[in-house]
Amino acid sequence: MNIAVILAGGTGSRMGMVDKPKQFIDIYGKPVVIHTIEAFEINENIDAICVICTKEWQEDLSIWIKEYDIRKVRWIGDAGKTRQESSLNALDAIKDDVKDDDIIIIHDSARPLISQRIINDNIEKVKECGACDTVIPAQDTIIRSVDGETLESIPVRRELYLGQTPQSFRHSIVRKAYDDYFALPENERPVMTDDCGLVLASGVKIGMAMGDKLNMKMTTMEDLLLIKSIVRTSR
Amino acid sequence: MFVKSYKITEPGCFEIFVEDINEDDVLVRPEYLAICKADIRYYKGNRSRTVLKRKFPMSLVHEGIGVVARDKNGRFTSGQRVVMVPCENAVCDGTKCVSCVREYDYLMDNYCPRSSFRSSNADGFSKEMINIRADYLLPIPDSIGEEAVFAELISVGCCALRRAGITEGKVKEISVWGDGIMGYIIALVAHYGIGAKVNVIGINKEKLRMFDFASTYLANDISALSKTSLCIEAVGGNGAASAINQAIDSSLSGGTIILCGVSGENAPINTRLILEKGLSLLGSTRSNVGDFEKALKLLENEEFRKRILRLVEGVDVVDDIRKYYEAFENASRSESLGKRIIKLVF
Repeated sequence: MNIAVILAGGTGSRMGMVDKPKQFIDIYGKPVVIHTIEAFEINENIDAICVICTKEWQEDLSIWIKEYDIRKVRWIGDAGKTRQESSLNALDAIKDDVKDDDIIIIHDSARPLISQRIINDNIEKVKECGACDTVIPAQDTIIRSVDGETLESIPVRRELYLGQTPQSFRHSIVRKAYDDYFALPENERPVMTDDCGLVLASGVKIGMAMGDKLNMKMTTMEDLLLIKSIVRTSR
Repeated sequence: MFVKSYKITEPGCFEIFVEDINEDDVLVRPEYLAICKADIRYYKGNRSRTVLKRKFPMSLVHEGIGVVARDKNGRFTSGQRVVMVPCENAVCDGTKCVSCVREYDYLMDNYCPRSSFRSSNADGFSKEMINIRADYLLPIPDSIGEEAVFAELISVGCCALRRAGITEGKVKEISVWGDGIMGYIIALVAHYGIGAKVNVIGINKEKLRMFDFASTYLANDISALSKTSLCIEAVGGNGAASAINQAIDSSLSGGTIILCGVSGENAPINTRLILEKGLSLLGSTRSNVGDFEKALKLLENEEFRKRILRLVEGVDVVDDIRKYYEAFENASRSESLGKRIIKLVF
């Protein structure tokens, strides 16, 4: 079974909106999170979907899932305080229905322009490597600075990629990585920004699937403007 | 939902579009496509500026098969392979317009001014996902592979014979002008679908060798060609006039000539002889769902399918817009009988 996990627990603080996280903003009359879920809903390789969001938005989410006739969402889980906690909650939500060999595809709800090709490539790469990150080659020179004021180094660009999502794993691999991570005392857990970082730290080799510039993350108001200007309505 | 597509915005120029599409019908992911000469005419700008301005931006390609992503009504299952029929009958509200064809069932799907035809007055199949009415999808039997992409061309052949009222065993001999892909397919349909002896008249010796199921003639020497009651012109372009005139010469009195080629210029033809022989000329390029069903039945015939497979010159994976351009450039330059098939990946 291939299970998509959609992380929709963010608060959208960088958007400046106080009453509505970014993933619930409407684009052409439909919340961003629904556009994202639909990309997985219609993928013939996805069997089931788990959505993680804060308790206060779960009722709205359930209503939308019904309104837009989404049929693959089997679990709605609680968001955690961190991304890692949210991913762990997703793994806990599905634990009774999942097998070791199943593939878990974890995706940001704020990337609604995910293509079918990226989803399929993730699944294929996990079958090959056990774990997969979605990346695009860095096209700008990346500057490293420690103090935020002066250059520390300029890494070789051809070795650099920008990480996107989905990040996908065999269930046994991601489960073990999370169990190991959360077994550590809280003050000893290394700071991780994504699931691949955590799985990589557990010593697993991670394959790469090519992402897409359009698979951008809606983080700021400018991103929302960009996405709205990219999407044209054909209705 | 958001769907990516390639659209032509001006001759020689494709752009990536992301659109929020309707999901009222069946969602299908186009998988294998073939480029038609009509697509190339748009790509090369070989239509009037006014026509192009009215149609662009538009997704091209109307020959394609796909995979069902979702059918909320449950008629199709997710993952099911289907032929996508490019025409869609307008839902008629009963008001008669000037060119109403409602009384002619055989014309409805394609000749009603309110009907749509993909890559002509509606978006074609160069999309990540299309929303299409269930009636315009046909399941592909397991015995048929990506060569099902030729179902549209085969259906055009079936349509031509249907329009002329030709059914199996009704005509013993048919002459087909044209050694291109359309001539090849119409000749195949006439041979395997009608059981007729088929004569093919062309200008390219190499291509004519591929018609090993038919008697072939070079157009500059048809003295041995017998007269028939049914002639089909599938030449089009600048050769259309001379082919039609040869067909008029080679027709028996009271015969029918079906015109399937798109002529480049107005074709001067021998109307005196048409009158003398009492010939009927019938235009036919647009097929309907029933013709597609016949096409799939023909593809289940192993001999027929083998001869269609000869047309598949290879499969090109098109997973970015540069490869899409390459596919159009290759198709524009190609002079061979067959086609390269596009495997579309978005």
